[in-house]
Amino acid sequence: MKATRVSRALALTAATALALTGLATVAIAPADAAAKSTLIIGDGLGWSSLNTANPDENSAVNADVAYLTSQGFWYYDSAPKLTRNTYFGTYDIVKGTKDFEVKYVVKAGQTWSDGTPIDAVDLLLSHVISSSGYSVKAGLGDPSSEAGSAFYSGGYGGSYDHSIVGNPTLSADHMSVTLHYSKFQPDWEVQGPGASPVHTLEAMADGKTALQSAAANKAYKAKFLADFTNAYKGDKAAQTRLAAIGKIWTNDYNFDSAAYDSAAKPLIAVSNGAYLLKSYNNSTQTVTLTQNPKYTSGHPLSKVNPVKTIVFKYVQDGTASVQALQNGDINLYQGAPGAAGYSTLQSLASNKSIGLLGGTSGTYEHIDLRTGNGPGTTDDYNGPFASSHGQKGKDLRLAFLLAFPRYATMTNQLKPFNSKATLLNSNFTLPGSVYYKSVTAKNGITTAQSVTIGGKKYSYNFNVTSDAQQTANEAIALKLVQKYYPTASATNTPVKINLLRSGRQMRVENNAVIVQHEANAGFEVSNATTANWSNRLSENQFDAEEFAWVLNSVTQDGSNANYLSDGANNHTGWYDTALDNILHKLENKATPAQIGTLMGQAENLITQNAWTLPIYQWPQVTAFSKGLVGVKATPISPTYAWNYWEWHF
Amino acid sequence: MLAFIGRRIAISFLILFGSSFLVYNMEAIAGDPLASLAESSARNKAYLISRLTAQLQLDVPPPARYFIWLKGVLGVFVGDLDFGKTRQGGAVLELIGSAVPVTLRLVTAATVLAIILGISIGVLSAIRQYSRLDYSMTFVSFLFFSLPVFWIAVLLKQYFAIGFNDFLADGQVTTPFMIVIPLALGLIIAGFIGGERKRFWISYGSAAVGLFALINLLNLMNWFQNPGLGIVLVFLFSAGAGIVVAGLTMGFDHKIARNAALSVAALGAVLYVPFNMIPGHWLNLGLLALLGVIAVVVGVFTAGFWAKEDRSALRRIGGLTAFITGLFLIVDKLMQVWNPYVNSDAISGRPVPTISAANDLMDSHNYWWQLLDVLLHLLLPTLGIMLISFAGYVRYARSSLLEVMNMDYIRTARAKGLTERTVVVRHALRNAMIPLTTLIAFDLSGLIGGAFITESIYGWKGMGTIFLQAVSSQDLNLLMGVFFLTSFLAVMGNLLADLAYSALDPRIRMGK
Repeated sequence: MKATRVSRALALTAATALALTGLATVAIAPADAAAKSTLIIGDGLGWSSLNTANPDENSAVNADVAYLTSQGFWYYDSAPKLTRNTYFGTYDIVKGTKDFEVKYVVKAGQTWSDGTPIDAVDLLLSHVISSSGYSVKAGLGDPSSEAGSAFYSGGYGGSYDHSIVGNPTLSADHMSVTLHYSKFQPDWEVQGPGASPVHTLEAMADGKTALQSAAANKAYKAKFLADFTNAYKGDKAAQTRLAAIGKIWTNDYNFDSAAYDSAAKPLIAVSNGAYLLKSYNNSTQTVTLTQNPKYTSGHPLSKVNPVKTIVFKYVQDGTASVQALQNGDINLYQGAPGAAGYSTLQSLASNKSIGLLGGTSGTYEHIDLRTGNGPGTTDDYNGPFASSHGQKGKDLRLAFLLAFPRYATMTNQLKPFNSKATLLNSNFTLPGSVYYKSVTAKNGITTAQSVTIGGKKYSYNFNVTSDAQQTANEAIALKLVQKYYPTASATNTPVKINLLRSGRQMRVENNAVIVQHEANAGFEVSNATTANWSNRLSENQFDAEEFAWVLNSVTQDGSNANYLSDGANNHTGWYDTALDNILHKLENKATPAQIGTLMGQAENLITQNAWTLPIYQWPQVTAFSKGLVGVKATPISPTYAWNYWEWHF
Repeated sequence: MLAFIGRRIAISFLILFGSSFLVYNMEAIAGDPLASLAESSARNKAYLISRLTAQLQLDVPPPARYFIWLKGVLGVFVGDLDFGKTRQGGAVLELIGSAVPVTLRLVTAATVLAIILGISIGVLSAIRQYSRLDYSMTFVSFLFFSLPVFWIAVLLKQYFAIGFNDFLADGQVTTPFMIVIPLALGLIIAGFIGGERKRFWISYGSAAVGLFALINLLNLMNWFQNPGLGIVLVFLFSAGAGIVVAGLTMGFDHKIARNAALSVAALGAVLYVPFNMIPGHWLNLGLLALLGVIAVVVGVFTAGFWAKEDRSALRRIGGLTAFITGLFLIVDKLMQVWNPYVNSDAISGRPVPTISAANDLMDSHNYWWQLLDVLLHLLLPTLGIMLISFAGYVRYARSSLLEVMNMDYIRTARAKGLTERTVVVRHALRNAMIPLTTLIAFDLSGLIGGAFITESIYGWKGMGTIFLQAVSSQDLNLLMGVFFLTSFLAVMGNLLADLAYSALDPRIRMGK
């Protein structure tokens, strides 16, 4: 009995000893921690295409990847200011204001990532995907018809399409093209051509998937030039070929549900950007970009610990993004993470675990008041704000805008996301633009204005910075309303306003605030939050409309469509010939100082007419891991990606 | 029976098409695919709007557009199923095809674990009705049942990913945790052991002290950074599991059963060395599954050698023990690659991720690395789904077993002198499982569409994520594709549940 017990004890001890040796498996020395070179970016949309000129693929993340993988003549810096990329080439106006010509010269010595030299033949595809005239004549189809063009492009129908004359002229040395416009283009820089590796498209049209030899690539490029020229002349074979290229261009760069591996289909990834598409995993929606060894088309990457690999990882939820950043699953995040997410980011930033840039996006909220019917319909609007009521309509509009809770909206909606949030005070430009200061100095939104009611002068300022100021404005607004409805008060609201707003969560939350403040001035606002708001903007049952404009570029005359009497985006029947005259001046050549003055005058007229007020820019924070240096945000696409060459660890 | 099935299938089709018609029209009326263009400041807005209108056929009124869509779906009968195209231009069917495996990977493990764990705890809870264990399990299951999945996800990420990764930086359990963890875990262990107050406190005390010592030991050995089991622990653990399996099947005093299980575990320990010699880059999921099947077969035969009677029961014990032993071998192997994995460039010391289904930077052909990577990505979402859905199984299993245990035939079984184990396992449990079958059938059919929020929070591109993308981008075809598939599975699951019910329970017959 005793022996068994002893042997049991011995066995147990032996087993324990053995078990412990088992626990302590050989320790493997950790791999040498090399300098970090991989940047993982959180992507809330899901990357789907290299081709952002396809209108279905025009998402923010697609634009970021496209920017990192291809370079052209210019980019927007953090101001945002349009800046020329002289590494890629130069361009300038050749002649005239009437018959307008611009010459684009590609800098010699650059190559595509497969080693094929970049020249001006690579700029010609831009014309194919932007000129309806070319598309029709080259047998690709009328882009505006039901069937559309063989190139399903978002480039047709714009200023380029309307004013380009003939085809671009290619120089004898093939290093430059000259574009001919019928008239001066105020935003000519933005509509210039971009480069595409046309030889790869030709190779793919031949059914090739592997990279081709230098000689074959040269021949393919020559073939494209021949196809481009001959299709326009009516050569059927060239037209069929170009249509086949159009199909490839439209479909083969999209990766909705298919995985991509550059080893299997290298032609797709040929590009001139700092990074090249390496792979796309469709089941995790992860995109991997690697450094392009042949990159010379833009600012050289940082010499110290540059970013060699960029990964876009899909994470849609705001809180999840913040936690992923905290855990190191992603290194860079941009978006609107919600109040809780933002406060987490702030506390992480305050103990220096992450970098945080509070910022704004290029999307801004505004309130429009109807004075008549939208474009293409007869004017039968007879609501309280109608211009047919003369002074009464104008007074009521002014009263409504005075009582509109811009300040409260901004504090409620924006401050939780961005402690430095301010009101937006211009409709034409954004803060940071070269024009913003001169425009806001003149536009009557930030300076004191006055109105005379019953012989007494009242002073007000739209740029409200306190609740008291808002209350004062509302008192003036009520007086304006009482001019026509003497019994109006906060409890007796005789002016019925039907407000149209899209169903975005932020606006829905703000409903009650608007109703309450407008009631103080005698308005009864009923909120028509409707799903189909976008095609109802012109319906005259809506006296006021709150929605957002998305700005993708800094322009000279880009706002004209919103405010010209016959502007396509003038849904609310605004009509002012004096304003039209100023806006038409913006379509001509002007110095930056003149542009600032003209915009200021135009906005001032709009403010005097009490048509509309900008409210705020949508929040967009940028947060990044501790080790990452050089991130600067800009409101316009490609947002944080604009200065990738400054990024390093 | 055939007439019944035929009738049910016909009704199912009516339901499918009725509901898809309603959903299609509601979504088409509520959604506004042109909204983002309306806000655009693009100069060629009119052209872009006309393109999108033509592409999405927005000029056709929704009820008529539904039939265009339906025509593509009905193409299934002529071998040409077409769910239309997404707004990005890809085929809806392809996108769904790539999303279904992702969702299945996410929810399968969680559901199976929730079923096994939920039913076992429910059964234990019922057997020990009104005990400490019963009360605490009731509390815990209601607690998890009532927690929203997104909130659980936030907590899990904060503590099990961010917190755990921070802990791994030096891998030493700090003093407060060294005290709290044994106290908490000890409570759970003692709760499961049960017994009188005195026994409870003794088991609680010894468990807590033992755990405290163990954590100290692991700290000293830097085990959390260099984990591993080794051949001995693999054997001890498998032997323990084998004894439990044998005990539950044939009784703890059945020596032959115990010996059979132990011999299988010993065989596993012997195979430890050759198993560890298989190069990682040779393996893949299929090969590993094959090894598993071989192990189970070997286990079945090894246990069969011991048999004088009850051969089939012994074989079951052998197979199950072999399976569990195999799991321990795999766990040990994963622990061995843990340290190099964690210190690799792609992981850089933070192994537990909060998002994504796999690490695309992981550039290794070693199967163990890939498996570890996949499992770590599965960890948090699986825990989250499991915690929430297991509550239902606990409650169902408990009440169902309690009901059965009060039946006359159970009393008869007891009266004729059967052991309590036989009464519970052989007589009560089987009948108690019948109502659970329907629950499981429902849950399995809901698997595909059942994890919308979880997928979105963990950044998995499965059915839920593409559904949410479809809703937010007003992608009607994609939305209808997901809806149709999930509703089809729900209707089919319902049908199967009914059929299984009648097959399992002879009392239920389909009347005319």
